[in-house]
Order: sequence, then structure tokens, then C-alpha cells
Amino acid sequence: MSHPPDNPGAGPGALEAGRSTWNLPDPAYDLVVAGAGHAGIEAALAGARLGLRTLLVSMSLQTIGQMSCNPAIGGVGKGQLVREIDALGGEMGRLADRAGLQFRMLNRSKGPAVWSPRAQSDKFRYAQLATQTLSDQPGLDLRQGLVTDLVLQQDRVVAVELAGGVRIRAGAVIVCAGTFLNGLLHVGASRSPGGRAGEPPALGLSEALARQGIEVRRYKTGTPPRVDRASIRFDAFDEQWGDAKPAPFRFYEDLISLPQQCCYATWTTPRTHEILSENLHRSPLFTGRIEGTGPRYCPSVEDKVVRFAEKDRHQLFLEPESLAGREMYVNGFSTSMPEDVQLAALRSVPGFEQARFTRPGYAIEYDYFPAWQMDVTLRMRGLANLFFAGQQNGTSGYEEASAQGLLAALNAAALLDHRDPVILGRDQAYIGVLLDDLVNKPLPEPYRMFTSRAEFRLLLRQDNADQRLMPLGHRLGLLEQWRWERFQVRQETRTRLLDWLAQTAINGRALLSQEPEPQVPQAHDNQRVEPNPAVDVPASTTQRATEWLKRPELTLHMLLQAAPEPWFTELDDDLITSVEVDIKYAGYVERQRRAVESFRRNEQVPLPEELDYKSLASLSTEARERLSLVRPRNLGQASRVGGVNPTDIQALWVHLQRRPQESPSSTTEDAVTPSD
Amino acid sequence: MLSEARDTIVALSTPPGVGAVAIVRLSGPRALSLAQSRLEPRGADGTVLLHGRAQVRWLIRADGRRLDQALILAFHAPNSYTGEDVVEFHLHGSPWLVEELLADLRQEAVVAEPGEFTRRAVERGRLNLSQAEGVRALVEARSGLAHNLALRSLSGESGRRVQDLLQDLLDLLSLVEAELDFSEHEIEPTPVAELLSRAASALQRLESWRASWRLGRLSHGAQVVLVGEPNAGKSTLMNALLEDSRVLVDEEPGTTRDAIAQELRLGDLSITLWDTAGLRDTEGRVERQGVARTRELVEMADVILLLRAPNQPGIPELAQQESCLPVLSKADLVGAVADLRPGELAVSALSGVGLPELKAALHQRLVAEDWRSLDLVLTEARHVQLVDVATQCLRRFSAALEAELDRPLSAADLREAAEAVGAIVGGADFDDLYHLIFSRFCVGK
Repeated sequence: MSHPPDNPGAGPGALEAGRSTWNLPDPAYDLVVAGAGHAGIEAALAGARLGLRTLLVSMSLQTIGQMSCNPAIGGVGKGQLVREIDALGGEMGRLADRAGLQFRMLNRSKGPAVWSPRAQSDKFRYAQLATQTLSDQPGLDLRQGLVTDLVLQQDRVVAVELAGGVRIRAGAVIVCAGTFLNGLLHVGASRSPGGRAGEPPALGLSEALARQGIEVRRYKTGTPPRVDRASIRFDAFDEQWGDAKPAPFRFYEDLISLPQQCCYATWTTPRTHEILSENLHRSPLFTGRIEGTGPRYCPSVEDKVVRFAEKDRHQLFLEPESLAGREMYVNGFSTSMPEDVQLAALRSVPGFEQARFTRPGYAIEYDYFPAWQMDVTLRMRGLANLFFAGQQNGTSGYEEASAQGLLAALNAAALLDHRDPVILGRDQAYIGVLLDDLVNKPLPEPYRMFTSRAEFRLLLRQDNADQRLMPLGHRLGLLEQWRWERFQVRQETRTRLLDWLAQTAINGRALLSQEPEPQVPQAHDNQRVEPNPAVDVPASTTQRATEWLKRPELTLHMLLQAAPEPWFTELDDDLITSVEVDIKYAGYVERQRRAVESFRRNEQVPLPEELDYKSLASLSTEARERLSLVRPRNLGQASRVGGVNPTDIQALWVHLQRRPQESPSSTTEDAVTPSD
Repeated sequence: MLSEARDTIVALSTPPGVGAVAIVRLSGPRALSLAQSRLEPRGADGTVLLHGRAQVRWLIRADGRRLDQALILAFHAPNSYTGEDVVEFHLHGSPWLVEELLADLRQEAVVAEPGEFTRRAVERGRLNLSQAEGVRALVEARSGLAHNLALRSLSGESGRRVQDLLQDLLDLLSLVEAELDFSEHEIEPTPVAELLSRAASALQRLESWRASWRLGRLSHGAQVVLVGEPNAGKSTLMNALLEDSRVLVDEEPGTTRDAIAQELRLGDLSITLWDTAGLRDTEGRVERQGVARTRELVEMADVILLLRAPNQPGIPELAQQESCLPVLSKADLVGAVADLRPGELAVSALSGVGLPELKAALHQRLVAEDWRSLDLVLTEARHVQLVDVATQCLRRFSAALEAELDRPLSAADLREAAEAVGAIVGGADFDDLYHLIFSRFCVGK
């Protein structure tokens, strides 16, 4: 641990079990959420919307919903998370649409299974809309303050303590501290405590939790400088526009309204690399001043120059941060070099000769709590009602944080209402993959979502998140009623479309006579092979639309045009994509569904909560240790715990078979065998 | 059985019955103390069982009565076969002695289940799965071939080949996934030709491994079936090959009405040799069943010895089969050689003429290639199945790439192939992908 030894924020050690002599003037809340970043916003809104009396505590009520790093929501793997959050009834998609300055469907050339929506955001608008939404939410109170401690009775948190000593009673607590816990900012050799540039760190809470035996570690991340728009020569750059027809994150409602903005692309120069290389001795990364581990997928520019010395240029993107301000975000130029080096290096890039920083780039080290200490509902083990969500769990990204905030709140509500926990499977949602990975795997770096983390990727698509998750959102009571009704109507339309495809015979001539589909010019879309219906289609053939659709070169749009029906106006893009992909990918989709079945077999073999892994001599030493820590819920989860191998799973399974038949849910009868 | 507080297990490790020496083996946490309590003198300084040191000592029962003078060999955990404390008692090979000792030790140890010593070795990480399969194969080896292939598994050599392939597949997958998870600004796309050539190299290995099964399955015993019309001399030839009169012979056609199997050692091969009912249209119900059985055996045969006596027409439809080795029997008959057809081997079971040539031809037919030069020889049906799955997936992967189908589909096939190959050696770790991607590509904005 590299915490400063003198810690002014560490209050009196209130984390003492069994203390009962305190009086609370404040009203009690069902749920207290500490932190108003992306995880906290989602957690607080979901809590209140599910009927919990909820309090959101933030160090500053002026900085709710900040975009501390890039002014964008979504991206590959992340856009899917946003759509899932939306389908469950969460807020992020709605905020991102309303604050969106430029929308792109990434990966459009690579197949719908990996299409990923991303939007540039107006960071001021985003924060303002978030503040507004929280303020308008009935059942939700906001309070400025720094949570420094938790008050425990036995294994329950009964109150949070704010700096200054005020205590607020809570039925459940969700900690969403982001990068603020013992945050330390680095710019060159200069080091200053801070949770984000210009804001103080949160001190006290880490130590209080560590006293409870919760393990705390350090990660680091970084951000690029922001540059004054007025100091940039834009004609040196390539313009990058968004999709002509922006696709919203939110299902069934288009709230995109801001004027769409341009981004810019350019490259670093050999001179840039020289300047950086010559000054490595001044970089806190290379001089060992930064001890935390950073993400390999988000290296600083000095890191890129060192690790990929053979590349003579790296791409940079310039992104607007807001409509109101002049700041531009220099994507690709994350750095913690001294400010003079940052500036000299950036000015070596044509177009930036006169660049003026509005803020320099910096690196930040912060505390995180390895998530293997939590169960898959993000509840801290050994504490009945304390949840953790967001970056302080060892993730990175607004979307990953939001998803955790939402799930933590759903589970806090389930806990308080004595309902079953809400657990999404890896076969159901990226959110399920996220939480499952987080609590099971040892993470070598801050965790970010990739589509390749989802083994059932062909099933988990951005276009069908509503079908996958809205029924759950509705059942939990989070999804708005009108959207649920809309969902049901759409499902009928979907069935109607499938029937139509299965029954309608179309002659090849009707398809041939069509011009190739006018492709809406889409950004990023320079690789897509132009569909050419003339190839290989025997004109005289008449066959069912479903059969035509299986041909790679034909699209559902073309079939719909070949035999138009009035009700086609009810079809929207997501619906068309999801039906088209399900049919085109049918063989693969079917194979993944079968794989899901076999995956579920192990997921359905429960592992008793009280199982004493340490006494299971048939397990390898490492498996005993890891399983005791993680305490998986079922055999499937156990198989994904790092350090556990198939022999261990076999041994566990054998052990389960031999246990006395104490639980009625014993699986012996089903003869469920482990699939690995 | 596996249990929580690990038992100490005991079993006879040599074959039951009278022999020069019988070895009883103990393994588990109490192996050393239990053994010490059964040695004379009890409790004295000399009773410490040193690791790897052989001692000749008096073996006693729990009540102190002497049982046998035995060689005692101890191995301390983790440097033993099972990774636990292990003690071996080398007794005089009397079944009664063994029974007495086991009955005595059973008071404090449990009888091991079949294969439990090896299973413990796997669980303690002393052996990997593929090596354990090698142990079983080695124990069961009935021929030089089986023995040699088992040694390869045991040494981990085969496992390493599979690991190499798995690594190549993960590497290929990382190239494909990198393009799906990162924008074209971050990742230089790998030329399709390179992806295809990497896939082709993996396929080539899988195909050669698959082909090696033809040989590998022989390590479980080769199936050789004698087939011919009634009275072709099948049973007589069988007896000659076995150098023993195992099978009833008679001039009466149709004497053999059911298939009979005998084991034949042929060089480094163990062969199951089948004598069968002669093939003919028959009225007899029993004989008809025998003929049906013959046809089944023909299906599964590694080699068909197709016999024809001089002046018999033979069975032309079988003669076309690749597995067929045509033999002209009764070569000692007058004029027999005049009837010899091209490709037929003339053999006289009576005089022994042609028998060595037949044996050589049979061995040559079974083991055509020099298996010692093969990269890897599959000897387990489970592995063959996985190799087949991987092959299928890789072929689909390449076809989808060539047809420019959506990349996520190709990726799904490739992942499945890697899973199948990984399953041979105990699993593929897909988290390695990110390491591969990040070390190759400069990603991140």
C-alpha cells in the first residue's frame, strides 16, 4: 500500500462492530449511494425508481456526471453495454442521446454482431442533464458531503458517516467512488492529491474499509491535454463526420437534438516522438514514480513511442468537448509528461503549432478494491448490505461503471425487498459477462469490455438488447410502462415479419431489377463490400424470402422493397437488423444456442454457500485458495475462477455427488455432468 | 473416492496370484506413520523411513505378530508418484501374505479405487491429463507399438505438440479479434492471405494427426479378419498363424458357424485375429447369423485376409476393398500355383510355405509408415473426436474468410477450434488473447 502515512481525512475509527450509542438526527434512507459519477447516477436513479428512499451523497453537487476523460459514450463493446442499460430501464442511453454531438456505428464494415454505437458528448450538457434528472426524480435526495466511514452492526452497515461526523442511517449502501479514493495526480515530477484535475481526493473511506480486512490496491490511468479550439489550425486535419443518420442508444425514442459536430484526425510526427523520447527521464511513468498498473489498451503517448519504437507516427483525434466551451480533447495523446514537454510534443504536430492548453494531460493513481472480494451482485463478502460499483472495482470506462451501478442498485433493492438477487448470465448480456469476469478473474489491468470477452457474441448484439433484457427490466419494475407496451407491439411486428419472410415467394427478377441499395454514407464505412445482387442470382428463380435472405449479397431491405406491404412502415432499423442477422447467421446462431445450453448445465449445479473449500484435499492448492475467496455460486462460475482447472471442477462435482442429500435441490437425479 | 480430509489409500500394485514379489503400495498423509507402525522394531530410532532409501525389515501386524521380511521403499511428498507420502512394501509373492497385509492395513487406510494413485498424481499436479492417459496406455500396452506411443504421452511430448497448435490457434484468433475489437485506426488489418495460410498450417497438422489414428488405434489391438467362401481354409490358416490348434477344422464346408477371436503377437503389434463363418447363401439359420456376423467384422477390420482355395471363384466385391489382403490357400495342392491371381499370396498352412511372407505382408499392411517419424500419433478416441471438431471448424473458418462472410462468424469458428484443441490438454485460456493483442498492436486512443 502506498497511502500517504498522514491521512487528514481518516476520521475516528467508527467502523467498529456493535457500537450502539449513536443518535441520528437525520432521516433514514433505504439506500445511500456514495458518489455521483456514472455508476452513482445509475444506482441512485434505479434505487429511487424501484421505490427505495434513496440518498445520493457527492463531494460536490456541482460536479455530478462529469466526463473526466474522453467526451464520448459507447464504443466497441461499450455501446452494447449502454443499449443494455437502456433496455433494463437505466438512464445512460437517454443522457448520451440528449447530449450527443456526433453519432457513429463503429465496426459497420465488420458484421452486425460487432456493430457498436458510439457518440461524442457535450460534457457540460451531459452533466447538466444528469443533475436535472436526479433532481427531478421523486424519492431521491441529493446531499453534498464526503463519506469517510461506515457504521457497522455485526455484518451490516447501518449508517454512513460524513466528514464532520454526521451520520446517515441506511438500509443498504453502494459505494461509487470512481478514481477519488486516495487519488494522486501526476504531471511530470509534480504530484498532488486529487480525485480529478481541480478536485480533492476522497480520503478516509479506503482506510476504514481496509480496517475491515477489505483488500485495497492501486491502479493508474491517464488523460490527454485539452486544447483551446481558437489556437488550432483545423485545415491541417482531416474532417471526421458522424453517421448521416445517427442511431440513438435509446430504444424506441429518438432524443438526439443537438447540432451535430465534426471531429478531426491527424498524426504525430517523428519530431513528436523525438521530443517525447528525449524527455523520458522526466516522465513519472518511466522514473517509477507511478506504482499503479495502467491499462495496456489505453497507453500514454510516451508509452506508445517506447513500446512501438518502429512506428513513426500515431493517430490523433480531436474531439469537441462541448458546444459552449472552446476545449478540444486530443484523443491518442494521453500523457503525464511535464507540461512543457507535452506542449512541445503536441506543437510538433502540424495544425497544433500555436496550440494552447486549457488543461494539461495527467496520470492519476487511485485505490481500487479487487472485485474477487465481492459476489456477482457486487456485494462485498462478509458484509450483508454493502455494495461496490464503478471504477473503484478495477474497471475503466463510463459504460462499465454505469452497468455496475445499475446492477448494484437492482441487487440492493432485491436484498431490501427479500427477493432473489438479479444476476445476468454470460449468455444473456454483456453486463453479465462484465460482472462474471470481474468477480472471477484475476485482472492484470483495469478491466474494459471487449466484444471478444463475450463467448456468445453472435447472440449478444446491440440491435437485440431490448429483446434480451426488456422483459427483465419490466419484471423488476424499472422499465417505463410505455416502452414495455411498445416492446410487446414490436414483438408482434417481429413475428409478423418472420412469418412474411417464411411465406412470401419472391422472384429473382424483382430483386435484380433493383438498383443496389443506396448506401447511406456512413462514417468508418470504407471497407464494406458493396452488395451486388446481380452476382449469381438466377433471375428466374422464385423462392421464399427467407431463402433469399440467406444469400450474403442480399439484404432484408432489398426484399422488403421487392414486395412492399403497407405495414412495413412499422419496422424500425433495430428490428430489421435483428431479424436479418438472426436469419443470415442462422446456422451459427443455432450453434451458439446449443453452446449456451451446455454452458447452462454447469451453471445450474449450485455450490453450497457454506462449502469449505480449504478442507477439500482433492482440489489443487491454488483452486482451494481461489475458490475460498471467490465462493462461486455454481459449478459453471467455479470453472471460470482463475487458477481453477478442469480437474478441480471434476473433483468438486464428485464431491457434490457424495454429499449427504441435505438439500432438496440436489442435482444427483439429473445426472448433470460437468461439460469440461 | 475423493474425500475432504484426504484418506490414506492402500492397494496391491502387482498382479494378483503367486509370484516372486508382490508390491503393496500406501499413499496419503498417514502413509509414513502407518508404515512405521508395521515395522520391527517399533518406535526405535531405526524406524525413520528416509526418502528413496530401500530397507529390508520385518513386517508385522498391528498386534505385533511377524508377517514377512520385506523390502520397504518410502517416498516423501511431494516427490512421489502421487505427490503424497508413499510407501511400498515388496513382499514375497504369496497371495495369502498379501491378503493378510491388506486386511491389517485396511484398519487404518482405505482400499484404493482403480486408477486412484494416478488420479491423485493428476490432482497434485504431478501429471497432466495427457500424461495420465499415457500411464494408463502404458499399463495396458500389449505390444511394442502401444508401449512406445504410451511413452510419448507420458513424456509430455504429445501434449507439447498439442499446446503448440493451441498457441498458434490463439495467436491467429488474436489477429482476428483485434480487428473486431479495435478500429482500423488502431489495428493494421492482417492480410486475408496470411490468415488463410496460418489456418492451412494448423489444418495440415490436424489432418496428419487424424491420419495417425489409423496407426494409433492399432495400439489398442489391430483387428484382422479371415474371410472366404466355406472351405477356403480359414480355420486351418488361423491355427497355423497361431502355431496352435485352437480352432476346430474339418473338410465339411461350414464347420465354423460363429466368429472366433484369438490374440496374435506380430512383431511390435498385438492383433486380434478373427476366424469367421464362410460367406455363402445358406438355408441354415445359425449359419446365416454367422454370415451376418462376418459381414460386421469385415466392416470394422483393419485388414481382411481374403482367402480363396484353388478353383474357388473368390469374393470379388471384397477383393476391391483397400483393407483386403488376398491369399490363395492350400498352395500345396497340385496345380494350385497355376490358379494364382495377381496380387495374391500363396500360402500352405500345412507345409508352412508362404507363412512368413504372409506375416510380413500383414505387418506391412498394418504399419505402412514409420510411425517413429510422425509428429504425433493419436491413440485415444476422445482426442480423435476433438481433432475432428477442430478440423471441421477450421475448414469453415477458411471457407467463410474466402467467401468474405462477416468476420464475427469466422471468429466463432476459430474459437470453437481452439476450444476443441484445448480440451485435449485440459483447456484453452482465452484471456491470453489480450496479451497477444497488446503485445503486437499499438492500441488505445
